[in-house]
Amino acid sequence: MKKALLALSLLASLAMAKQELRLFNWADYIPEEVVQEFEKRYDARVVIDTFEAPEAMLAKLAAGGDAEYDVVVPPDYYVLQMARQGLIRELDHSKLPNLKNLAPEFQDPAYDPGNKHSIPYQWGTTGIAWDSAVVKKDLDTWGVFFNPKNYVGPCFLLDEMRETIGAALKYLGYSLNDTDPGHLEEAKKLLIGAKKRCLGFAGGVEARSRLLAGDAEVIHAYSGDIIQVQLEEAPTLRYAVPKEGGTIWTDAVAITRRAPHAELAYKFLNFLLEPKIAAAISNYNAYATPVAAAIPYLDPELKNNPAIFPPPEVRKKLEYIRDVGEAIKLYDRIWTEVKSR
Amino acid sequence: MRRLLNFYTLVLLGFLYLPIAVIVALSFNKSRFGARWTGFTLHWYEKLLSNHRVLEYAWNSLFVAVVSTLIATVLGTLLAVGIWRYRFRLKSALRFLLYVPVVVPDIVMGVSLLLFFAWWRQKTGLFHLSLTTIIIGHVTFQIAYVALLVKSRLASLDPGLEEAAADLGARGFATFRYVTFPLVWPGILAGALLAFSLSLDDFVITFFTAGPGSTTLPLYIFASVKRGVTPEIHALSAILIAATTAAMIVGRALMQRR
Repeated sequence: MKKALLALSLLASLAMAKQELRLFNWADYIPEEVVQEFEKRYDARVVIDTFEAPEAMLAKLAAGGDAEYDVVVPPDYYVLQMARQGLIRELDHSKLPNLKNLAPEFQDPAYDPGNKHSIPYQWGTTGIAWDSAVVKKDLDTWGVFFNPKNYVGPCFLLDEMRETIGAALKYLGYSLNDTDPGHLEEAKKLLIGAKKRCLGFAGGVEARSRLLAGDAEVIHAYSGDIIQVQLEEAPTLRYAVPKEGGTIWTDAVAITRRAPHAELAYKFLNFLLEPKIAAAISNYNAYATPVAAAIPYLDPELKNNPAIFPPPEVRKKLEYIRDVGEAIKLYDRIWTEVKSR
Repeated sequence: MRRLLNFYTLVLLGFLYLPIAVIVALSFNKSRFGARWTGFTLHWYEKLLSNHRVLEYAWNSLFVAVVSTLIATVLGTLLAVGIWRYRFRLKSALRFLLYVPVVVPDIVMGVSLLLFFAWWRQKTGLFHLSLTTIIIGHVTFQIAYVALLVKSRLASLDPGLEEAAADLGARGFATFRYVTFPLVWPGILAGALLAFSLSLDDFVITFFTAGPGSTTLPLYIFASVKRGVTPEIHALSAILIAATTAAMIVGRALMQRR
């Protein structure tokens, strides 16, 4: 009897000693079913901690978190910087057979050539959004903010330096990674004018709330934020990438350099690249998936939505935000001047 | 004049309670995105109860608050009684030092703790950022609050009472147990309640001392802001508000019975 009890308690303690995967992610960015599926399949426990800004994530990792967390979800322009700082490791592709499921354009992305340090998680664009019940025409230009002739109504710009200066640069026909002081000065003038016409700057979610509440008629927005609401409760919302072009962004998934559970972390990355899992994530977030093999499993209203998967002629006009090096000081100065006017 | 006073009271109450009312109202709103009222629902409460992730964060918060309050209440009370009862060198310096954690900005405390833990981690391999480091961080500022509240209660105490107890043969601990403690316990309770609520909603110090697996509710809510706070969080906030209000009512009733 005693022996049986002992054996039982041993078994119980074995079951308790589940492997742990520590994930550092944006809040509410992975559906619980997906996490549970992983936990079940690999008999592991997933611990999720959340960050609100990539700067905070970077600070935590630099302060020793790279030995505490296993998997992190940085934005595209952070990947190379984190690799340079030695915070994330070079990936062993032999442990990620599902990399073959990626769409060709994500096999070798500009922000991380050859997916050397990361795999793509979700991607989207930045453009303009409006309520078609209020604004009765299709909008297709950044001019709604920057040109009085194209003004349609109260507007909000995003409170994100690179996105917003980038939008002005795009309207002027420049790259959104332009570092020419003259071009940036032109962008500054446009932004100051736009600020006077618009209601100001706001975060993505706040701007969306003001659009839904009817305070604003057109806003500078992230694709997923708008599509999510459009599908669930406000079908009259519209989103478009202006004809001058916009931003494309990708959130990546990487393994920390000193990850305590690296083997499990590889299994997790490979798991994220499975067609059905990638589709479940996209169906939840309403962002696009880089996993081509997942597309058949997407909800039909996502799959055939040009606002989520822009057609090739729009894709051509999208640009990634790149590290501009020293010129970032110029951006900072212009942004401060715009905000303080 | 009277009408003006009534009006002023109403405005003041509105100022204090309307934001809370908005959160509670939104927790019953059908809309997930909160900008429009689309109907009454209990759906978010149901979802909350099945969201073990958020419940885990809530549990972390409660655990930290309870443990840190217990530690800080014992230490803070002892500190206050010690300062009150004994004379020693540097007593006034110690009394002054008590105020420091109260006035130092949270952010300075947080960064200092982070560096302190990092230093000790290098030396000893202990102090990995976790719930334990959060608890230590909270205790550092809670002690001061508890001690200050207990001290002010002690200040209104007649020192003759302790002398009388000593005259009647009570030793140090017995005096504390049967005389001082019963007289100051409302101060201790008030200190503990304050320490508890300070811990429960602390963001800054927690932010710097948290590690993997130790996300608390304030950390999670802050992180959600950028992607949109879900109504489940509103539901949880409504439950927390109800629970703290209930605790306050019970606490008051207990105090009045004395």
